[in-house]
Amino acid sequence: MTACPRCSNTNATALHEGKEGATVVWTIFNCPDCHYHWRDSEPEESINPAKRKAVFQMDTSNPDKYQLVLPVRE
Amino acid sequence: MNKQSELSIEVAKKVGSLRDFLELLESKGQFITWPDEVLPEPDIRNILVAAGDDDKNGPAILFDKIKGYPGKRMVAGVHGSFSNIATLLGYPLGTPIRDLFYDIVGRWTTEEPQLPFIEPDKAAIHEVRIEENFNLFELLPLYRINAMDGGFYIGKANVVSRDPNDPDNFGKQNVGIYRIQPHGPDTFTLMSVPVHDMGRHMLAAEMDDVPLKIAVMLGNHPAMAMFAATPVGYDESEYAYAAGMMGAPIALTKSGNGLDIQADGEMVIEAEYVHGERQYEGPFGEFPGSYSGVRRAPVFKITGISHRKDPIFENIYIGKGWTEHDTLIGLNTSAPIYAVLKKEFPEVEAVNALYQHGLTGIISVKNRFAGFAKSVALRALSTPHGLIYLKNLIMVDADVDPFDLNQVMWALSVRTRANDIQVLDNMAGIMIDPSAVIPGKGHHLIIDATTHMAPDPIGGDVEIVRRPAGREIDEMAQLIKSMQKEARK
Repeated sequence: MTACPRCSNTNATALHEGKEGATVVWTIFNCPDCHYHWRDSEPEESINPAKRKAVFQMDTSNPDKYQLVLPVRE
Repeated sequence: MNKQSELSIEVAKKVGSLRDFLELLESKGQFITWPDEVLPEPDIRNILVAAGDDDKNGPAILFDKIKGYPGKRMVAGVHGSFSNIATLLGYPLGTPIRDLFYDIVGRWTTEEPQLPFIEPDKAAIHEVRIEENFNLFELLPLYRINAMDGGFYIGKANVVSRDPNDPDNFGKQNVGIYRIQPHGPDTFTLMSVPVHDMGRHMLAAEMDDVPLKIAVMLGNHPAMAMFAATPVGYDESEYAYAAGMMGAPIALTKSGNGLDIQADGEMVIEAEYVHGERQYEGPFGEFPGSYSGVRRAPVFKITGISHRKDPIFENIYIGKGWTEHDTLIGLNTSAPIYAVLKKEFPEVEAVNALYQHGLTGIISVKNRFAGFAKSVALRALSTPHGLIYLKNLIMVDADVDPFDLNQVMWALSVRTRANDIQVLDNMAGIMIDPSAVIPGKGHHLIIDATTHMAPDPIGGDVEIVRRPAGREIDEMAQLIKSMQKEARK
């Protein structure tokens, strides 16, 4: 389990490894809570929580904060 | 009637697919293969931004050495410059934008579309078929388009869906470009709102609890890529428009889940709408040059994939302009506004809605009397696109080419008075305008930069300089360019 750079939850898992021959050159991770995806070879502004702008961080404890694109049928 | 030239029909007949078009672009020096190995981030976006800065002549760029994706190919910038658009329409490189605009206006038709049907077992797109163990992250050389996007977006797919209440109606079958965020190996979110045709299909499917199957087409015919982004009527087929406007065939076949798809595309991802499920989507760097925030978006699950051997993944750079998005949809945004206006106001000469999907538009019009241009502007604001997109509208005279910003700035400089500026506040606007105080609301601003006419007081003793123009001047300009070229040798 890995910490998500966006929501700080620690449930992220590896989704895919990029390889050159037998060597793994990067890994894509997926956070099942906030659905952020990232590659560990990316610049820090995208994947380092300390370097990411606060406005792009997420709090998944309050889903209603995020607008529904299409209303869900009751 | 489609008024395109014989030459453009000849060109169109040679272009049946993305691969054909890349070949044509290469023959004109408008397509290059990046020679070095690139990292998915940040290299691809950096290179595409640099290429996109040249809106006149930027090339399409193919990447075939993407680290971690051996053997995969990705192309972007296919519609990234007006010279590439000119090539598709059968014009020389460097053709003025105004000429391309009139060409597209002249082609605006769905008459006699040629849409031959290829049996699926003979269609190139079905060369390789995948029925299980889907993994988007392995299949496609995905990368983050802008640094703070929420994921690795697919930004240039043509998505096909049928009206769940009228599934056999070919016209109501929609083809549109919607941003797609892969979420898992076999799931993705798709951003469509209720006003979109596809949003209507999704709402209807969920309401009546019927399945909604879709086909996500990647690496499309270059005309489809242009016209899937064009607002056409709900019961009008984007395929018919694209083939009609090219004056040449676009071959169709069936996807594994029964939708009409392009037979010669690079890849189709077949999927089904997951009713009632929404997942966090975004942010995504959108065409106004700002990020649209995180939303909860509809989810789709993959049911099948077909692709050509050695497929090319076509994607786009979109964000703060100028970008391929602006060139891709600019002329097709301008032409329908012109078509509506021209019916009621034959005095309208041209419409430039190239900027941020028309957030700023420029319309040239033969002014009939004082205030006339403002009335034309108000009509433009009530066109389907104008309702929410035409935020700032500049009206200029017929002697000003709205596609030549030097001329537009001249008109603004010398033909505008303070009382020629009208602000309509608290109107409908787009959700993602970064200047909006309330997303979805905003202003319309009309700047009337046309000449003052009676009964307005004209002012002092003013006569405009008659600037020499016409064929003689155009030929002279060409001659000077060739003399310059010679002098540089």
